Amino acid sequence: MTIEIKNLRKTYGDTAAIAGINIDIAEGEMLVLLGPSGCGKTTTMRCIAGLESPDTGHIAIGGRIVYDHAQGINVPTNQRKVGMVFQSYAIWPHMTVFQNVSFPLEMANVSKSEIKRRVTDILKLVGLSGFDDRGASYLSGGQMQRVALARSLVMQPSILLFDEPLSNLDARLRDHLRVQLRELQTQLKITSVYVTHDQKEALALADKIVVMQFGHVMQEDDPVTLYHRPRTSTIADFLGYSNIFDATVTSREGNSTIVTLAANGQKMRAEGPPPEGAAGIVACARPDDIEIRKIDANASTADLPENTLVGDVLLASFIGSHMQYRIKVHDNLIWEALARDVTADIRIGTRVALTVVPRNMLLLPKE
Amino acid sequence: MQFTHTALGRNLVRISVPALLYAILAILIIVPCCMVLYTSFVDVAPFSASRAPNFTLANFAALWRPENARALTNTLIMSVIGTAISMIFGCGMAWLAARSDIPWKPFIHLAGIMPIFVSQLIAAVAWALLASGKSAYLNMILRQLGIPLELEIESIGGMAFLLGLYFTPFPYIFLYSALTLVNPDMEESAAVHGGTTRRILGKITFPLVKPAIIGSMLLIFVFMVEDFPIPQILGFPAGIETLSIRIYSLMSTAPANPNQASAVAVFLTAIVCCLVFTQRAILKGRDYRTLTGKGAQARMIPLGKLRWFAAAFVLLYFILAVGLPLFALIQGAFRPNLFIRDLASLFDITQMTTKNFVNILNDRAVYAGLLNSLIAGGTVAVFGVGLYFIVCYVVNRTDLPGRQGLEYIAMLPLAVPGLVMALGILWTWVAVPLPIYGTILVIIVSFIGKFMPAGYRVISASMHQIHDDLEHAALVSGASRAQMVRRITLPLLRGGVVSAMFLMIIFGLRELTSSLFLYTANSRVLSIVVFEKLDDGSWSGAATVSLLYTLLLAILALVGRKYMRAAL
Repeated sequence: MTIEIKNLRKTYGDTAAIAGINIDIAEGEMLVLLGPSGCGKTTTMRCIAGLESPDTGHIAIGGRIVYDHAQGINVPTNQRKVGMVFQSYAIWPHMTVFQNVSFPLEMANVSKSEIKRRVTDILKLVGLSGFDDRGASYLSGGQMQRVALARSLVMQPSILLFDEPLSNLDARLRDHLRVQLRELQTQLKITSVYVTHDQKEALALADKIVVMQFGHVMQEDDPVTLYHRPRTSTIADFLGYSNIFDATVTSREGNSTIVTLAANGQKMRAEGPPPEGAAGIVACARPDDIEIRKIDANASTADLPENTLVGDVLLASFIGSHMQYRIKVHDNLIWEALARDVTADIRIGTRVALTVVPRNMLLLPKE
Repeated sequence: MQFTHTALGRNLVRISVPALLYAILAILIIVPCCMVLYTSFVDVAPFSASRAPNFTLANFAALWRPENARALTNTLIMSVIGTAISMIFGCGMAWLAARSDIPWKPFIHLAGIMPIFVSQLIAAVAWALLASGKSAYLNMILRQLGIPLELEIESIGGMAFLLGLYFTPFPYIFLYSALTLVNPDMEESAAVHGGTTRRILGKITFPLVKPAIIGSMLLIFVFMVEDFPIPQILGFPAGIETLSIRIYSLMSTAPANPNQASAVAVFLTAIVCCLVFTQRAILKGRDYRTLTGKGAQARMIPLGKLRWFAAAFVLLYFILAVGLPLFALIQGAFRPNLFIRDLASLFDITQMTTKNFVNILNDRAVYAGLLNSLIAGGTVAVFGVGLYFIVCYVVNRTDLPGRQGLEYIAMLPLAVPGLVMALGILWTWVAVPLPIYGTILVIIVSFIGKFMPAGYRVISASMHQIHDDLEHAALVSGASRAQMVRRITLPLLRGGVVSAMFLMIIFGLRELTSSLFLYTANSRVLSIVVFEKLDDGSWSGAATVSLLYTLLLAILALVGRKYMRAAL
């Protein structure tokens, strides 16, 4: 089923939780709403579910209008046939696993034998076979999450909604369930909306990501494009571009742009034309796109390659797959780098050279 | 066109539900208050129809009479002393139970909470037997021991002492929960940063629980100012009047003066309102109890040699509040008359008799009273709690228009003394041309209004513990609102609802004030039966009924304990 959201708006008092947004979700697509808390992503999802009444706008699920302000349509939640997994799991503690999962089918007046069959099948699908009679309050967090998933799948919903479903789990379990969730969704091909503030989760799960801020849609792209081409410095920051520095355009050379870093006056080359930015521009680089190598403390800086900065290591921190470094290039210019080579002899105080290839040097409008 | 039609229909439904609830709450609470206010400004009883009412301020001018001033002074002295006694016992026991290594902890907790279920009427009867006049048990014992001291409970000090004893559970519960909910990390971090036990208590613990202390102090002060049963049983016969007794006297001594009574009622309500709003203002945004940890075990402070002294302190309270009154009731119930010659005969089985029990068990009035009490309590438990649930649900779980106002009205009886409400209900239902006035129904109606704040709060507290996602999940699963309430909300709230029902039955059985203004020959409840026995001077009868009455309350409290623990 497709989901169509037009000009949706919801205000609480004076603040607009959603400031008139338009989103289209294609059949079988997994759309992730990504943004910091209070950006309107959860409100958007709750409007789709019908748990929240928008002020104006239009929502259609699979071509069926479920909300339209102008036509006075607002289909109650229980008639929208959406599946939803809540952040708090919302597993009913006074029921067994089976009773929790069979509830939607009972509400739909499905026959007893059919209920038994479908609940058994779905519990098997989520890996909870044999848990039927377990009291819901005796489950672990991960198990509750699976029950919640089973409960929303069993009714064969037109769409699935996920409200930060993994945020209450510990890191290992979260990674594990994330993979399973993606597998299940691609296998069942259910149109889904997933709300999260975790960029890693968003990138891993999404067919398409909608970045929201202050109730507006800031960018709408597939994960790869979003990751490599964030549209603004705020989005870049949110996506883990930890090196973001004020810069000014100095000149254009063919297909590339030369900028000067405001902090130390160093020139950097970036691919492509400079962006339009009313408030100036910033130069950004992801820490894992930076090449770091040890140099002699007294070496001349003249014969270093293009786009290379020299600085002293302030911090070296081993994080398993990478070494994380903070490097002071200038008093107001601290860079962050992630190096795959964790054995390199780079310590606090080591003089290093940082190189960013022009393709990875991103110029964005400042906000 | 069709759509606008349904939208209109939906809006009508949205408005009609709160409108109906407003109408019900208005009849139960607001109209009675207005009746009292109205009566205080006119010169005839409402609906007396003897002549047209004239507007007058004379009732308020009469407030300055010396007997009213004396009543006000008595009220304040009694309440201040009573509050002090309650705070000493309540806070002391709460701290000992929550933060010290005092022995017999479960007993300490029981002693702190149990007196809340003791009927004030019965307590007053028992203490009158214990310490009023020469033949009272304690006075007799003192005389036998050669101690030249005679206790007199029928005095301001005596009433203050009793109020103090029986309101102790409030500061106890407030402070105990505050102390157990304060995150122990806060005290431990103070210890890590060099604080001594004494300084941590003063600089960290006390400021954190101060709102609970001040809040409960003002609360019980309000309760004492408006209290009726204790001054009625102990003060009225001795000619000691408080404001509440003034109202009763003005209504009950011929010729009755309802207008003067109303003016005093308005004055008393004004005092209570001021105190309640002060309490609210002080507590507003200062309730630190929500800063709770994971229920981690707090540090217990070793008392050393003082342990047994502290335990004796709690035991003393328990003996005063529960042990001695029970002893007195048993003595009163099992003796042919109140006079006891000496200490030895107190324990002489041969002087005892079951005559009183035989009398009581053959007394039709007792059965009628018991039946009426059970009917009243049961009806409030079912219909009252049903109403509180609906109001609470509309306020907390819907976005219907005007829902906040419902909560204010539901809480209003906190700021209106019980006997003022009773007066208002009396005049309201006299005027209603339905066969309600003079029946048990009017008593039930008064109970439903009077107990609303307590019932509403118990249900609302348990409703707050249920994440609304649990309900939303049902809606998403295809349940209608009605199915959701039946299958999810009500089962999850069962504990809260059952505990509210138990509280209502117990409150209903204990109630004296409203019943006294509203009962007729056909609608005596159990408390009225005790009251009338006293009025007839039949102390043995009163003691006997009280003993049975206490047994009933104790059984109910015991059965409901499991559920009510969550509520207290």
